[in-house]
Amino acid sequence: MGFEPRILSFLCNWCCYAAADSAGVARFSYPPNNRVIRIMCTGRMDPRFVVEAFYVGSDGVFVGG
Amino acid sequence: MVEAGRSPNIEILTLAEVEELSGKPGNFKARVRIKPRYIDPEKCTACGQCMQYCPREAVDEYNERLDFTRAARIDFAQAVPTAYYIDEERCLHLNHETCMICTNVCGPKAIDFSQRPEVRDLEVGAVVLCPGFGEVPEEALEKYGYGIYPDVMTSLEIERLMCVSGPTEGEILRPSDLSHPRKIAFLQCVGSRDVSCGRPYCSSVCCMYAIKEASMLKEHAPEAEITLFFMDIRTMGKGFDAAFERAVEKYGLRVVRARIPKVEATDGRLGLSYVTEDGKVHRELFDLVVLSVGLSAPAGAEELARRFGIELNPFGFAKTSAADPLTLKPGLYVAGAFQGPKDIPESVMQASGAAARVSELLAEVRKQDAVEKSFPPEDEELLSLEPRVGVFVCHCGVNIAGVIDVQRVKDYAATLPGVVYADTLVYSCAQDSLERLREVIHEHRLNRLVIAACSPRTHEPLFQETLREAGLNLALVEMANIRDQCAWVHADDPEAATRKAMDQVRMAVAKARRLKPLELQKVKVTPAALVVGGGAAGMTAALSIADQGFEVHLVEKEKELGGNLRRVRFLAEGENPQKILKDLIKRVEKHPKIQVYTGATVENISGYVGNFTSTLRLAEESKVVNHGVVVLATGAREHRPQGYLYGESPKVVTQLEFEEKLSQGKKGLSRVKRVVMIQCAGSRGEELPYCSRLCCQQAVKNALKFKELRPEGEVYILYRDMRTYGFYEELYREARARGVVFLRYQPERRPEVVKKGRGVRVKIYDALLKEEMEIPADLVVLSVGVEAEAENPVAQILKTPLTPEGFVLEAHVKLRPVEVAVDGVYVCGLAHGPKPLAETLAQARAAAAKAAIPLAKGYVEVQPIVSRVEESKCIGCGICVALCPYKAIELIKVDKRRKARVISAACKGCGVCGAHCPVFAITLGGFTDEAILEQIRAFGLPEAEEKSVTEEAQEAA
Amino acid sequence: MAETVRRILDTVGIRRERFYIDWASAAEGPRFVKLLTDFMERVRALGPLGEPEGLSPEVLRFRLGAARKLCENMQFRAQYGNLAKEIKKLGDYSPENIEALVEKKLVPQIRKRIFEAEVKELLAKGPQSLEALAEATGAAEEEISGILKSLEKGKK
Repeated sequence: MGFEPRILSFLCNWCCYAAADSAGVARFSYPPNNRVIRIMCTGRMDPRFVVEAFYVGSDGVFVGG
Repeated sequence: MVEAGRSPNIEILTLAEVEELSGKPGNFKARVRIKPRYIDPEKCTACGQCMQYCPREAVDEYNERLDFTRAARIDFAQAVPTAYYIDEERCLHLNHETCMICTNVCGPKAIDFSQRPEVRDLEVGAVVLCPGFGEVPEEALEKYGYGIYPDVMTSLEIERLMCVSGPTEGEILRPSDLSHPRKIAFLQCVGSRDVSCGRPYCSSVCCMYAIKEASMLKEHAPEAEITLFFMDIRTMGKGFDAAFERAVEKYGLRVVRARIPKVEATDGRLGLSYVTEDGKVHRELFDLVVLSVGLSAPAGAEELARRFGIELNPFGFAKTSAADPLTLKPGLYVAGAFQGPKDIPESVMQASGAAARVSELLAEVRKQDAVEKSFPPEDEELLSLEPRVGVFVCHCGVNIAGVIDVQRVKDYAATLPGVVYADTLVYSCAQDSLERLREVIHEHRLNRLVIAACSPRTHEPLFQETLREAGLNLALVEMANIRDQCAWVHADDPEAATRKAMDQVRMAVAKARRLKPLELQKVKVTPAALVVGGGAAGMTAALSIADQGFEVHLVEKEKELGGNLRRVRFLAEGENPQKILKDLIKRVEKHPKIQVYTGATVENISGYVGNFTSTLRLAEESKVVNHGVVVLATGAREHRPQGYLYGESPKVVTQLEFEEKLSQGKKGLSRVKRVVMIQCAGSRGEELPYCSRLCCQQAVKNALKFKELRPEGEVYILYRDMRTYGFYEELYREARARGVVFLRYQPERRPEVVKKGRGVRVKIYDALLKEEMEIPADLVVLSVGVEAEAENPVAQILKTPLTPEGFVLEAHVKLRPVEVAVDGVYVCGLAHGPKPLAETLAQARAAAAKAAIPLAKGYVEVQPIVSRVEESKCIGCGICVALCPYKAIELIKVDKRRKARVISAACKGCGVCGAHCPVFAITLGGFTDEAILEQIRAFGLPEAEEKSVTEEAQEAA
Repeated sequence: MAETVRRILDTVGIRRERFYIDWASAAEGPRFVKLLTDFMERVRALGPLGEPEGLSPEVLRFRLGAARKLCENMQFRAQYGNLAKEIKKLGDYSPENIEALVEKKLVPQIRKRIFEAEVKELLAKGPQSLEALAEATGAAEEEISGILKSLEKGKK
């Protein structure tokens, strides 16, 4: 099996998190490589969250506003 | 259902019927007969012992008679009230005075055979009738072989068959031989659009539900080949066309345009003969035939009408007017399918609209007998303990459990640090599950909860409330979204989905351990509303809110009120739209509580639910108004299509322009002998991707009007699908009877309008003749559709999301159809999406009902996600003040030092302040730095775990 | 925020493509799926963290540890916050403007503070040559010598 990246995503409650929910409602499938942390807004993003994510071994960090 | 069951102001009487209604609006007396349940719902714990031991079988009506149940039973696990009952007709004791086994096995002694029918007189101010819809009689289904061939089933039966709690636990088995059907056919318009069974109207919902059921069948049985037989595809709801096309493509469904006259059996299979549009006759065999049955008037509608003294339409549904689609007679209102076939979003909207009607009538006595919900005090001792996390993994029926191994997730959760209890629940949001949550919290002294289920966006408030009922702070629950963002999107890889669910649960537990109690703040509400848009929707909403007793500021950008309705001359319902408009304007202008601003725009809105402040730009000045809620009724406009010679030839007009000509009588049409109408000109994929819902009935209505003025005139209507849903189908039938010619065109070969000499001609490809035809026309009328305004400045100011088409997006299509993502903002009318007048008026009242909730309550509870400043850490740098997008932070002097302070009610919890605070003095409720960092670390854990395992292994070696 | 993160990643030697920020509205489920899937594919093509970068897990943790300290440093956070304030005041959110401002005001700080933290930690383990320090931190030798000088000054 090839390399399966581990991705951490930070999703805005009002936008991307909602979009991700609606993708679920419509059953749009996508690869299961990401894990989600819900935040109330991308404004909440502190650079240290991203640094921490890489520190604990994330292969990629996605921020969805 | 759960919410209604939980409200202290709703008393639910089941097994009850209103026998008589007397009195007058505001002061009715309703005599209600309540049949005995024979089980005391107060004592019943829904353990199911009575049903398990009941020896008497009964046909399971809930499962569409596909299964057997017992005389002592509950119809389904989530029923409200969650209590069993005994079927009078089947029970051995009640019929033969024997048995009584249930009495002996019932632990809490809830069985009570001494119950007798009870008659109660209720004093009520208003009545809302929602008896729903009835079934199509079996005789009407016989011609399709229903009742003769076992493998002909109704769509309702299929619905139960697909359900995990259904007779086959969700396995698709055909009744005759219990085999898996390979070829399945859906027949549309069964018991709808069928004069022969007395149901000439369209049931409006079947096209959409058929595609939903076909999609679900494919999920259950991917190998099945599914064909759907339509006359017209009527998916005219908001976003429905797109959903339909997506489903057809994704599931490889076959769509055939033909009406099946009958079903015959051949060698254990079912034969269908049909004629397609090209004139060819086909014969095909299927294993299972699904009849998409329509919606009939509810059984006993006539008796109901007699008792309540209301009128029915010729098909047995409640009769209402376009001007007032919610009122049956003063004090008596209607909602749902009893008023005419309709889908869930529309039923919910109508129900809210009916509630507004009631609230208008009873505004003076509001809160008189209301009970406010109270919660027990928080358990300080429990809160002070170390985090004791309880994890609940929800099956959500098969929604989650069908993909994810919930048992494994639960077992894994139990091993996580801080977790003292883990369990699974079939439906965590059901009443019995919430009850169980409360019990477990007490039993195991839990002070943090993790619910692995659906989205916190929809269900967190429910669980927060449950926590409060259990004496815990509402902020101590964290949800792991393993349905919407896991099971539903990774259905093809159960193993990976399970691992993802385990990760999300671990991250949620990590966060939960860091959660701290938060205070719920109450903020006073300014008892006034801002209604933006003075069309039919805006005026109706304004009137309703004002009649409910609150001030309204009504803003219209044009010089006069009326909006699009000013241009409508006739209604499909036959009423006079200009009279409706005049009445509305008169009432609005006379109403002491409504302040009208014409020629005005909204320049700015600041604040939050309960306390908005808006600046209105008037002709010569600007004005500041304070209000608690906003209703968006900003409307939409008639689309202007490209091509069709529109704007180039005076012989090409839109339906509204044609309507104007028709209103002038014969003289406007002196030389017009032949009218050609083109449907979907610009709509459904050409320029506008969606269906505008109202053009088909508009075309038919205008065609009939033309025929009335000029009986010898000819009308051609070129269409893709005639979407004269509901009772508008009657007009379609009438138009055909009067000689209006309907020609269907293919979307890939749309009609063209060309000049020829001084006249115009319409070119259309005829599928039957397989050749292009040219129809000379004296007038070409384009059904152009409804288009959102290019910009919606008010929506932009409020930052409320729009659909890609520019219409205001509702917070939830079914559950919150007139609310938007921003609290305290509501939407109605064309701003929400295209719809005819009657639906607009009902929706406007729905928006008014929702808008009046915070106004009537007098306060709103601020979600505790707001930010807080730790004064001792704050250095008063002011970065947060400058960055806050909501002006929710101010600098104050404390002991001569500058300190930041959060205005909680204005804070949206976005967190910009916290992310930019140099000294970490700002914490965000529920989203603290520590909690998020813990979540990130928990994300990284499995790798660390693996590593430590390998290290250990190496050491051991 | 995004530009700052990218610069931090540059400084510690992680490919900046591993971080991605984009927007999708609540109604845009399909867009979200596409954004995320495309990003996943790009990361998949890059390979595991550290591999294309030529950084061992130990070096990664070492360097990210220093980056962590940067993000927790009060002076740096104040500079970062003030810059955000300035951008908001200017009202110019164009990538060019933000890039230029971050380049000018934050990048020197990012590089200095991260390398400084790294050098301190390395020196704590014992004396090291300039080349070895530059090698371990990924900084230029001039930057290291600058840091060493300021550390000297600080001691006096």
